[in-house]
Order: sequence, then structure tokens, then C-alpha cells
Amino acid sequence: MDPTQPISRSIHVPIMTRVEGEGALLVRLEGDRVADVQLKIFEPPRFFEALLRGRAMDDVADITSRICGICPIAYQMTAVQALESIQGIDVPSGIRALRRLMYCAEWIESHVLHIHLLHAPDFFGCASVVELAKRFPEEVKRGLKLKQLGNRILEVIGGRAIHPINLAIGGFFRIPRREELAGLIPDLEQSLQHSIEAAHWLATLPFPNFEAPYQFVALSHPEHYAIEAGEIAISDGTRFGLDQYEQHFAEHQVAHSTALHARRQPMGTTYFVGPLARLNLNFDRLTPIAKRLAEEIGMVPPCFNPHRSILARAVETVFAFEEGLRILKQITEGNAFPRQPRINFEVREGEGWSATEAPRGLIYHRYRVDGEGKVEFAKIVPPTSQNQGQIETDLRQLLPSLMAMDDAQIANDCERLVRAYDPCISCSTHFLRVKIERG
Amino acid sequence: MSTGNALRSAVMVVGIGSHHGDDAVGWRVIAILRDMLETSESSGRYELLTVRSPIELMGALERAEVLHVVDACRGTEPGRIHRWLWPSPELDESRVLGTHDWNLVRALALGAELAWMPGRIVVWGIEASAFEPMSETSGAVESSIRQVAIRIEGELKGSNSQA
Repeated sequence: MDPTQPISRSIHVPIMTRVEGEGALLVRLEGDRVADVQLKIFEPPRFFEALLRGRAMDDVADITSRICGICPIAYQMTAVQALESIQGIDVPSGIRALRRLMYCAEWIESHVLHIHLLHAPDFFGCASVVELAKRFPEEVKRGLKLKQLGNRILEVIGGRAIHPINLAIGGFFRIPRREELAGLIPDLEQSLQHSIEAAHWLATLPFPNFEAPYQFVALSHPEHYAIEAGEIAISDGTRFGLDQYEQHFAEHQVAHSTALHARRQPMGTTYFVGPLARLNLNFDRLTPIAKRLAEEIGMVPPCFNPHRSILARAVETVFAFEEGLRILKQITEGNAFPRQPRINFEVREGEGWSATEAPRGLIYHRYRVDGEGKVEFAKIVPPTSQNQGQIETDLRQLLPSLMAMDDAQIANDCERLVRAYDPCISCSTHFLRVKIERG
Repeated sequence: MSTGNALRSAVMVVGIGSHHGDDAVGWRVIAILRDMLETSESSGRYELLTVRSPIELMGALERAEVLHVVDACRGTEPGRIHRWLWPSPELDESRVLGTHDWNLVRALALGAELAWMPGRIVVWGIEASAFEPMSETSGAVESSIRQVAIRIEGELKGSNSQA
């Protein structure tokens, strides 16, 4: 070996474990220099945007919900709201409340799944939740129970937990009966307490000491902790309406991944979406119990440690139960119960957009429909395509501190950082431009 | 928090699947069983469920006394039917399909770790080969889907007559 030449090492994680979907990671080191970092997504692109073209807009919610089994509501809701904006529909407050409740249920089931099954094992050196359950059976059971309740709320409002079918342009196909909704309240009250206990347990975890100067991006609403409505807020103080989303963010292809990477425009910088971004930008609009809990466990802004995203998810889980209870009581005990499931409208052509906060972060849709209500164009930007660039930036920053470790430990620490983002690789594979050259 | 043992009473059949080609075999078996058992005198004794991810099995593990699970599996003969009694050395992670780093074997192992297991678990696997997004099941698995439904119905009725 020539001692004057830098030692070159390639660390390849062929299959990322405990992430949603199929991806890999390649790290190339040359001496003390990080030569390359590639978060590779090799799930086949699924062409959902092309699949939607020519379809009736009433089909869009059903089709987009198939993009992800973990967060179908995020896709359905964003699509339906975008189409409603084209049709000039402003749904009544009771419908809006029920939709927000449904979204809270999705946050619960997605966050609880990631916390307990995917992320928590990292903090105890466990390879999987099966190993974690040997040491913390009651904590894992509690997590599974919380997730089951999230699913049950989705069943009551959405018709079924997986790929719900009840959301419609203009409202819902069916409003659940008042007693069905009221029947959820006792379980939500109990689960709110269990979610608080879970957050206190998670607050005792040892967090790796890693921070980066992130540009956090999330929806922000003047009155509520933003989920389904608001304007775009960035942690550098920038604010703008959804109509300007594509002026500020653009996706581009990278050779090593079937998913697109989104960056801020015009500077081309990466940015961070998800629970940690939301908590940093919207902390003062958390519900009272969730806010008090966040203060008790030290999860207050500013927080620039992505590993602490697990605590942001725990706080948002408490928020989702608390907000869900508020909505349920408002709907079932007051006069906010929706009077009709769906408002009528006459189809008109046009273009519209919407953004909501999926469990993993900001999601943006834009559609154009013709005068018969057929989709002419669809654009879907999921959270993971927005975080992918940031994840690679983080890995470049982390790696110099790991140089002295062996390859297995470096791979482990890199995977752990990726998992902190809860990337949903299944969602992020939406379009790949294919160029065919013939001789 | 209850482990639910006191509440066990159900005989459950759960189909795992998705809308993507042969991955739907579990859902298709449940649909056929629904039709078969609708006219049966004992239809109320059974719970039939479709789920997308094996993690959704956890609720069934906690409640069921007898559980049949139907899922697509790996193999070299598309359409070949397997019947495994859990735990079985033949049923390991190399046989089952999974996404999101989660699969049936892992879900059952977690259930065992949490002492949530039913008294009897039968896993039905149909070897699958085609998983195109939003496509129909392939011809290779079509007859196997009906065969598995018939065999499960037979086992359900057999257990009734033994009861």
C-alpha cells in the first residue's frame, strides 16, 4: 500500500432496514474526505401522475390513496382540496372538522408505528421491534394499542383503515352517525394519557449529539397547529401562499435514485420537512396538553437535532389525541354536526393546488381539469422527495466524525440518521424521465 | 393494559395483500369466503378481515382463539399452495413477502414475544410471481385462490363439528 495515497473506502448498505420502502445507501470515503453519498431509491417508479391523466376527478382520491398504505389520507385530502379549489368549493365547518379529525388519526397511526417499530429500536441497539419487545414489552404493547385506535378512527370516518374510501370532492360520501363518533371518546381519553406516558418514556432516550443549520419548512396557520390548511413558512422568516410553492421549490432528477430531489429556488439549497420542522415553526399553536408536555420533556424550539424527531412525533401524537378529542366533543355535543355529507357543485375547468402536512411532512398537489371534470395534468410532491437532499447533506456533515470507526459502525450510524427522518420511499417514487437512444 | 386473553373467542381469517397483482391473493380469498359463509348457518362465528400490512395482524393476534392467515409467498411454482402451522421451521422470512421492513413472520414473532398468540395459527401461502402496480392477479394463482378458500371453509366447518 502506498502510504502517500489516501485510503479509499466504500460503505454500502444494500437494503435500508426499518424504513418505509426499498432503498439503499452508498458512501465513498477517500482518506479523510467524503467523496460521495448517495441515498438510492430503487423501488420502481409508479407513474401515478401519468395514471391520473384522463381520469374523472372523482377517481383521484381513490387512486392517490394507493400511493401509500401508511398515509393515504394525506394523499386523498391534498388531492380533494386541490380539486375543490378548482371547483370553487368551500366545505362547511363541520366537514372541515371531521376531515381534520381523520387526519389526526393518520398522524397517530403513522407516528406511533414509526416511533415504536422503526425508530425506538435504534436507541437500545436492537435490530428490530421483536428484540425491543423482549426488553420493553409493556411499552411496545402500549404503542400497538395506540396505533390500533388510530386505525379505528380511520375506519369510523373513512370507511376502512387501509385506503379509506369515504372522502369525496365537496365533503364525504357518508357522515358517520353521531353515536359512532361519540363511542370513540372514552378510548381517546384513555389513549391521550397513554401517549403522554409514551412521550415521557421516549424523553429518557440517549440522543446522539448531531445538529445542523436546517431550513425548516412547514405549513403554518394563524389559529391552529397546521395540518390541512395554512401558508408555507420557512424558518428564515419567509412566508408565502400555496400559489407560490413552485416558485420557491423545484424537483430535479439525480442519477442514483428513482425519486426526484426537491430544492429551494433559486439558491438550490436543501430543506427539512416533517414533525421537527412543524414543531419548530408552530410550537405556540400546539394544544395546551401537548405544549405543556413538550416543555416538560425539553422538546422546545429551536431544536436542530434530527434524532430528536422521535420526540417531535411523540408530542404530535399527544396533540393529535387532544385535538381529536376536542373535535369529537365539538361535533357530537354541540351543534357542529355536519348537516349533509357533501355539497353539490357544477363542474368547471381550471387549475388548482393544495398542500397539507402528511405525517412525514409537507405534501403538495397541483391539478388541471377540463370542462368535463377529467384530469389533464397532475403534479404530486411527497415529503420524502423534499427531505432526500437534506438527508444526503446531513450524512456528508456526519461522516467526518465517523472516520475512525469500522465500516459496520459507520453504516449503522448513517442508517440511524436516515431513519430519524422516517423516509417513506414508497411514496417518493413517482416519476422518472426515461430517455431511449437508438443507434 | 390487558393482553386480551380473557376476550379471546373469535375464529378469524385474515387476508394480507394490496392492489398490486398477485399480492392481492389474500384479499381475494377473503372475498370468496365472504360469499361462501354468507349463506352458512354458522357465518356469525367467524371474523373475516383484509389488511395491507402484517402489522395490522396484531389486533387479530390479540383477539383470536383460532387464526387463519392468507398471504402471497415466495417460491418457484406460481400458484403452489402451502399450509403451515405456526411455528414451523419451513416458514421463515425467506418465504414471506414484505414491505416497509415488515413481514408476516416478524409480526408473528412479535406477537409471540408479547404473549398475544392465539391457540392455533394456520398460515396459508400462495406462491406469487406478478406484482405490477394496480394490476389483476395472474392466471397462475387464480385457481389456487379458490382452492385455498374451499380448504379454509372445510377447516372452519370441521372445527365447528368437533366443537
